[in-house]
Amino acid sequence: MRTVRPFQKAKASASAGAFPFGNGALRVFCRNRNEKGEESLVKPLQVALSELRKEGECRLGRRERQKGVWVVAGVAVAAAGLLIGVSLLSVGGRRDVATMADTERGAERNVWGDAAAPVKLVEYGDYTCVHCAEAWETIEPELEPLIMEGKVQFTFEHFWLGSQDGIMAAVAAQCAADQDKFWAFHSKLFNNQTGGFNAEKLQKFAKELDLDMDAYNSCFDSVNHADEILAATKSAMEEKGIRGTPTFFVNGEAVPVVQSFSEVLDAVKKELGQ
Amino acid sequence: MRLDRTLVAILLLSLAGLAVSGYLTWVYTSNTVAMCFGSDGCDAVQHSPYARLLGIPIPTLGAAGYLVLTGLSVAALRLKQRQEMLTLGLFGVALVGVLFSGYLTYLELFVIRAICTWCVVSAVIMLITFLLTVHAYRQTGREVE
Repeated sequence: MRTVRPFQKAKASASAGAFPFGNGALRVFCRNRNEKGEESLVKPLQVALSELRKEGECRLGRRERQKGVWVVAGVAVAAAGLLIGVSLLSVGGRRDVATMADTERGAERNVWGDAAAPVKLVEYGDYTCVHCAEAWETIEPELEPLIMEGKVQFTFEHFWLGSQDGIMAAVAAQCAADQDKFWAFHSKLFNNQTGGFNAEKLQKFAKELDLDMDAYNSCFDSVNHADEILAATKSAMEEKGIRGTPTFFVNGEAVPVVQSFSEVLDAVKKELGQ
Repeated sequence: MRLDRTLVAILLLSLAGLAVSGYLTWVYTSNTVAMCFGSDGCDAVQHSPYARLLGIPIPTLGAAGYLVLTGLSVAALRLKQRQEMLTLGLFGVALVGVLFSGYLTYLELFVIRAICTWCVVSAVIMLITFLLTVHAYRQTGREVE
């Protein structure tokens, strides 16, 4: 507050008593200038202010401050818009597939992809099996375009490991299949496996996928699909010798998974000659 | 003095945001499951296709944003001469953060239809930080050293 002189000089021209002297004076002065604008201030005050500004007392003028805010806000909005745009564009296709009906994605119940595809991939799995979820997470992103291009046909066979929530989840998936949403439901089950499944949680998924809830509930309560799943598990054990999940077959050959499920993708690509 | 207090509050919030987004970055990259506190949406949000931007996990972007906010607020506290510009910078970065957080919260509510507790915590931290930067910038206009 050593440079209040210009202000004191200017003070005489301002309406008397509007600005007290000293430190407080400058404070009031700057506040008036920044909040109420300076249009009403007489010229000498503006001169005084510009001198003050030169000396670094009141760093930016009101206009500059306002302009600064607009420029920064504009840049910020543009940057946020860019981030959001990239997010929406990069997800665009994927999001649709996640909730897409089976017929839209070229699937019929638990078989996804063209029957004429050169590579047939079959998985035996259970929705409560942690490694099955891990496998889905690993292979699905790369598998999906291959399926959509007609190069791979992917079949998911239920192999019930014996838990109550495992059979409930599999039945719910079959009920979703009745409504053309097997794969969307399948994906939801594996992506939300943590904490296990119960009737309410499965019902919530059905609602989220816009299933007809009356049809879903009566399907879930009937035992038809449970019988199917038990029969499928039995035949997988007896005919294919399956003992655990997940087990993958590429064109009829079992794929040994040693370290990571990307080995399944490798086997698929090898069959495709890639 | 009052401006300094606002800046310290911004600094503390940025550090809290950094902790949250750092934790979630670890969860995302190590395939662990986040502690979700009564909401079962963390898993769904983490596995949604929106969880990454060009391969970068969203929490990593958040951590970067909070890191910039932390740096700017420390700088604003120490470099009195540049306080006004630095506060304006804080405002800009926080505005990007609050807009992007808003978009992410919209996705959680209406697209993914699952709520991830940590993401909401981060969104709230970002919102308060943004309001504080607005307040701080107004203070820079009032305070004359």
